[in-house]
Amino acid sequence: MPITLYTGKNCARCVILKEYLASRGQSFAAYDFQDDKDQFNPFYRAHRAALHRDDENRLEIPIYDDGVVVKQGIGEVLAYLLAGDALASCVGTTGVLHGWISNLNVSACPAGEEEHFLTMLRLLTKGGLQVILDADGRRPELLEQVLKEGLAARLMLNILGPAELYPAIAGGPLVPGDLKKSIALARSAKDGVIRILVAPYRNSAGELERLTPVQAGAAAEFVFEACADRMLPVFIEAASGEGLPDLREQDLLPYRSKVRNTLVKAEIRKPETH
Amino acid sequence: MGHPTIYPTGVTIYDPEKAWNGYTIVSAPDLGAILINMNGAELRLWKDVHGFPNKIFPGGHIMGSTGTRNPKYALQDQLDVVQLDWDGNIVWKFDKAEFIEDPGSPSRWMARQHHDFQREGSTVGYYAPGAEPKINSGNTLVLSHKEVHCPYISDKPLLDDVIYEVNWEGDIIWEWLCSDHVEEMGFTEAARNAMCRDPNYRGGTLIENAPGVGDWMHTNSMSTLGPNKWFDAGDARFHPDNIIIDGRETNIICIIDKKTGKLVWKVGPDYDTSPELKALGWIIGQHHAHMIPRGLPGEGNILVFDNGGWAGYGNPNPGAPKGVKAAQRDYSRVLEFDPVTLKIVWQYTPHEAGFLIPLDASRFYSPFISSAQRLPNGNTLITEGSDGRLIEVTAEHEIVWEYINPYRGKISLPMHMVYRTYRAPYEWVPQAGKQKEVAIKPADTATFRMPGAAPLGPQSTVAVKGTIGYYSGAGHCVAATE
Repeated sequence: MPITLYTGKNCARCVILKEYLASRGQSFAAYDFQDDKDQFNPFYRAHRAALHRDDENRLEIPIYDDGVVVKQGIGEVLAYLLAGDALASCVGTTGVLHGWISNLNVSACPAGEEEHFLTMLRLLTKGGLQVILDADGRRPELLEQVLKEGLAARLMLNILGPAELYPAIAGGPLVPGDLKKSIALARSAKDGVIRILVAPYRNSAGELERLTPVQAGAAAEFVFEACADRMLPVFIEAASGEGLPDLREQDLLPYRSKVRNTLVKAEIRKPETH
Repeated sequence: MGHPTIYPTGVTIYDPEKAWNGYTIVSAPDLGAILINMNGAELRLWKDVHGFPNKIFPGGHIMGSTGTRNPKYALQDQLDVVQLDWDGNIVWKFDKAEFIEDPGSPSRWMARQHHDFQREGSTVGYYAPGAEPKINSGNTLVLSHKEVHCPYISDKPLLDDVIYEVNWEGDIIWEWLCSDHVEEMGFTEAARNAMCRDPNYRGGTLIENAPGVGDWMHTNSMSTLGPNKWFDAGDARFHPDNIIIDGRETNIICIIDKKTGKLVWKVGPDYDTSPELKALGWIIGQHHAHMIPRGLPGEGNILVFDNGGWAGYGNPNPGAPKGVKAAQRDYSRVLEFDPVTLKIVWQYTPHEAGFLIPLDASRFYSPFISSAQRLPNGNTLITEGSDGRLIEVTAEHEIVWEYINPYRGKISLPMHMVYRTYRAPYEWVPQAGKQKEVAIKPADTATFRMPGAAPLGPQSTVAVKGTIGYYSGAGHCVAATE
């Protein structure tokens, strides 16, 4: 099937994609989503529901269309080209923050896909993007490789809950040994942040909920068991979730109280400090 | 002004018929919290209990702290806020604001509280009909310190003010950070320039090698508004849950919307921006700005000890070459003003005290600390803090009670200073029993003598022919302004 790209001017992400396709010898047609309206508008009307915009109503580019699938954003597109849907769990909406790319989760990388994941990061960094890498404590050996190669400009180690909730929230278990290694890596990373992320998840009944303050406190105990350092600099932050009201900074105070019972330096991370 | 070397201390004036009689809690330097009666009898000392401030609550309970953080590492941080019963047992405690590791001291949680706190049930922490602070439950608002970085203020490290609402269990359930709202405060470019260069930058107290921080706002008062006529009339700015604070270094008094955190009312930092503010006059380095609680004379008005002294950021001037502490005045005022019209309703200044302004004005002058409490009979208890002089004045400005703090700091500042005092009704301290009220008439200072001193009056007089006597209101080197 012919490949069509919708790109923009001065778009480093679009350049990365074009160069990657060229390196594989794949031909493609590329249209500017603003200038080539005759090509882009019919495509947009047909796929409007599947395309996302950010908080400022900006459309993320590049957009990839091979007639079978449509992928949006350099992370999603590269992951698809490298591994089909195998990397889908570790690549989210990557955002359009200039020069940075986020929502790439090393801990969600499936076994056997490590090289594809690393290749994706290499392409992004070589193309000039700074990677904000997420981790959740799992896959410390892959995280170590990423850091060793300098493929992450910033590391966000997200503690998603106490051990017993990890399968439900993260999609897999987390053992203390892996968490201990991940914490050590985050602390040694140049711009590493460790945060207890109050994120929405589906419970065993399929209902959407989020970590409670008591569970956040239990997550802090889990962290302490792994690192034995009650002075560990740790933040608390809320992730927005569909169907659940956003948590404001004041809403996180009970979380901080519970976390501080174990990790005394816990602070709420303000959005503007990102 | 010349102060006498020898003078009486304790209660020096007392008119039981005109005073609002009760107990007064005094924070004595290097000693502790002292409860005195109207004749100055020291009924109870809670030894070494710090007071920033001390407050007296029903049941004979007091509020204070168990100590102050080593000043080498911090500025005025209290270790905790504690509620103590009559026997000194800790009934309630808050310290879980920050975990502190100071060299040479055990690591511990600290409240970092300073200047104020308020217990639910009362808006301002002093007596008002039907509004007693809870002693067995309730939330507490605590004013504390926090280090921040805020480029809008300065590139220097800043010591910020934070308000915590703490529940009975000691958990923080609401938090407000002052620097988050600096852009709402209305600083002029000149003020910002001065503040950027010197945000009241200082080391930990007087220790030169302590880490420097910019104590840019220096909030020294914090209370809720409580039920009031303005809100009842539909003015949402005065919602009972809203919080009024004042900043000594900025000359700002402002009200915080409890729900949004936004500033919804303020006077300062510049008092030249409207006819109303000009009429109010420059409030400088003020303390204890609060709304008079419902049920007391003047309810709904703002009562503040307007210190004068030196404070604020602005244009360089001869008294402030860098524009820091740009406003200056060498006397104090106690003002009660309407928060809507800004008109002064009542005041106690050197003029009302009987001192010419400016010639004799500094005889009513406390350039730092101090407070004012409205009493149920319309009197006002004024703490002229720097010299430790407490006076109760009537609405007509008559002094009906005066107390001079006899305790001088030996370890801390060598002064008789008293940060703030509170008068409480007798029934709040049943343990103290019935108190005698013995009137103390003002001594005639013209005839009062120390043993050995000669009595008043010439031993012989000679009339001089040609002398013409004296004129009333004869001119002086400096013109009186009032």
